[in-house]
Parts: sequence; C-alpha cells; structure tokens
Amino acid sequence: MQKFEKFYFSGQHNGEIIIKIIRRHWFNILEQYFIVIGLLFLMLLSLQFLPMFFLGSTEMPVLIFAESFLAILIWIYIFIIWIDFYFDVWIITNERIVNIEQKDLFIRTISELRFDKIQDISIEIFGLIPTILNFGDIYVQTAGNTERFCFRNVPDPQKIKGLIMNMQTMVVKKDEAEIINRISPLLRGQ
Amino acid sequence: MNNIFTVVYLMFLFGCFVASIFIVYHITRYSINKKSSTTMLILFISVLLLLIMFNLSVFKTLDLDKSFNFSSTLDNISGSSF
Repeated sequence: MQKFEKFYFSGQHNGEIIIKIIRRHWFNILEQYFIVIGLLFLMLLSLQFLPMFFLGSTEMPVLIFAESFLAILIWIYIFIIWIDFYFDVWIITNERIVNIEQKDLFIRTISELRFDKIQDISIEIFGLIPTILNFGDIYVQTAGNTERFCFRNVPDPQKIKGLIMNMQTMVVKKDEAEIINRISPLLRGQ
Repeated sequence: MNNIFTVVYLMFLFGCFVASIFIVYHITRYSINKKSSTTMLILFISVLLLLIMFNLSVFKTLDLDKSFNFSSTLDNISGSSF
C-alpha cells in the first residue's frame, strides 16, 4: 500500500488510501504506436533512398525540412496517445473504485463506484493476443443500476477481480460490524 | 512564393504550439503522480524545443524558388503564352 503514498487524485477523501492503480495493458498502447513506428520507418527509408534516386542537391534541404516537420507532428501525436493511455485510469481505494476516462485531449469523464453497491463481477478475455498476454475486460454490475462499470483491456483481470471481491467483502463486514456496534447499546437498553 | 509558404508554415507551427499547450496542461493538471508527470514534461518540452529549433533553422536556409524552380517555371509559362 505504501507504493501509492505519493499518488493523489482529484476528489480523494481525507484518509482514503489508494490500494491499486490500474491502466490498460501495455499492448494497447503498442498497438496505437504501430502507426508511429511505421511512419518513422518510412521517414528513415525516404532519407536514405530518395536522395540517391530522385533528388538533387537543391531539393535535399526541402526533404530535411519536411521530415523534421513531420517529426514534430509525430512527437505531438506520440504524446496525445500517451495522454490517452496514461490518464485513462482505474483507482481502487479502501472506499471505492474511481474510473477516470480520458478520450483524446478534450473528453474526460470521472465516475465512481462504492464497494457495497457491487452485485456481480465478470471478466472477459477475448482473442489470441489477450489470452497469451493475459489481459481483458472486467465488468462490474452494480445494484440499482442497469449500466455496467467496465475496466477495458486491463492486465491480469482475474487478480483484479479477486482484489475487488476481497475489498467488497471487507467493506461489507466493516459495515455490518458498525451497524452491530451502533444498535447493540439500543438492544441492551431494551 | 516564399511569403505564402512562410505564412502557411507559421500557421502549422502555431497549430503545433496550441496542441503542445494542451498536452502540457493535461500533464500538469490531471497527473496523479508528480514525479512521472515532471519527467514526462521535461522530456516532451525538451525534445519538442529541439525539433522546432532544428526545423526553424532548416526553414531559414530554404530557398523555395530555387528548390522548386518556381520562377523559371513561371518564366517558361509566360514566355510560351505571349
């Protein structure tokens, strides 16, 4: 638990402890970086071969200018993808699950789920690569709410499911103990 | 021709600048861990500045009229039509 002592999220309650921070599996960001890797490869190829076959000495600065400008665009694109990945996060605390969803630069939604509202948790690992790399989706069904809380492409979903279920059991037991503590003086009084 | 290209180039550069501002804003505003956000900010800004400086220096050395033969092409066109 000490691992997340230096972490803080907006809306964190006093005394609320972060237990786990979950991001999408690294394969998910790698998938998006394939385009970037392809573009960089094309850039290197064009720098190597275009001057040999097509360009003269006067056109060479234009090619270098175009490539360096493309490099700026790629660098910005790399960080837009990284922001989408890094800020799309699920935080499991000792009180609740907070889902911070980042889509590109301009869409950001934050939702939360208390452990005592959880009714059912299911996981789905679909496809060859998710099976090999052990990542998938976790669906959390809440009480009184038809919409499911979904963790997409998270690593080791079975372990996270176990963690959520343990936290739920602990919270429910704690609540029961608190209720018993509160009503026991009343019962004794009777 | 050089002037038009300069204007277009500066507009694109301004677009990159705006996108960079949004990226920096997101990293500083929404990060849940200061250490990693500082590292990423330093990395992003330093590499971006290097790339922009290099790009600007290459742009300054460009002579588009010579590179693309715009003036001679225009001369040829005007010479052939009149």
